Amino acid sequence: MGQPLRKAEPETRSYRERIRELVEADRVEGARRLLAEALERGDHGEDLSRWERVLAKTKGRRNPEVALDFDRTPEITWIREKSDPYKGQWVALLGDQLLAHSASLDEVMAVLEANKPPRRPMVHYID
Amino acid sequence: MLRLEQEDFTCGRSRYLDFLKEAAEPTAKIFVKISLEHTESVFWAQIDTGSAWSVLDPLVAKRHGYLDLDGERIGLDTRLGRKSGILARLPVRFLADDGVPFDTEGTFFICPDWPPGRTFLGYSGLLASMRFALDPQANHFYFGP
Repeated sequence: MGQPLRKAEPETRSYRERIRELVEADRVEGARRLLAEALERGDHGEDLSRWERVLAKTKGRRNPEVALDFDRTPEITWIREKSDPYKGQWVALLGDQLLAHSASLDEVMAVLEANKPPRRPMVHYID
Repeated sequence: MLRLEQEDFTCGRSRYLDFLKEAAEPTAKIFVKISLEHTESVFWAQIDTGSAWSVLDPLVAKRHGYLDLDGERIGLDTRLGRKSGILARLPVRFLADDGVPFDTEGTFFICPDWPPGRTFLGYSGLLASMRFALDPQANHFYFGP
């Protein structure tokens, strides 16, 4: 004899809670679908704007106004060959020149702001 | 740049690294050049198509005031264990050596106790909304809308 079907329990958790649960399980498309359902219903009384923002799919844009970058082989060579004394610090490099170094990223950026390099520097943490 | 059936497939190209000296794992990775908040500084970020979310270096996050953002707080299981932080939408610029740079936004997991020096670009919150391709023979990373 078949078992009687169990009546589905009404959902008592908030949309925010259910979306978070899906996000934490890396079920991003499921979270997007649930968000879309919530927004369509519109009668849940929850502020879902943060989830709308973080789950959005953004179409980026070309930006021809930004200067091109360039070959970073000298910076990489510097990191491979000369970075040992700077472990635990941030370094700012332009070519094989060390522009600034400090355990504080703010200090490194302050040096760069005070002495603006002629080209875009590479900022890297020496682990 | 790359074209597909008479149309642009990507807009820019940059040279990527397949390892960094201090990387904990010896296997090849893909580190690409980005800037955040459209600042005039370049950072390396590791492509991680196996991760839903990007992860931002906490010291870079602090520098930009992101640690104080009022975002959605979540817990994530990472290779460093369970981590708690917020998800936030941030601007990202892919710098180009050739072609045209690409500006977009990505959802980043920001966690104060994430180790410094490690920024990852994840799939669902960023890479899935753009086009990208690799030429491993030349270490070229192609990207675009």
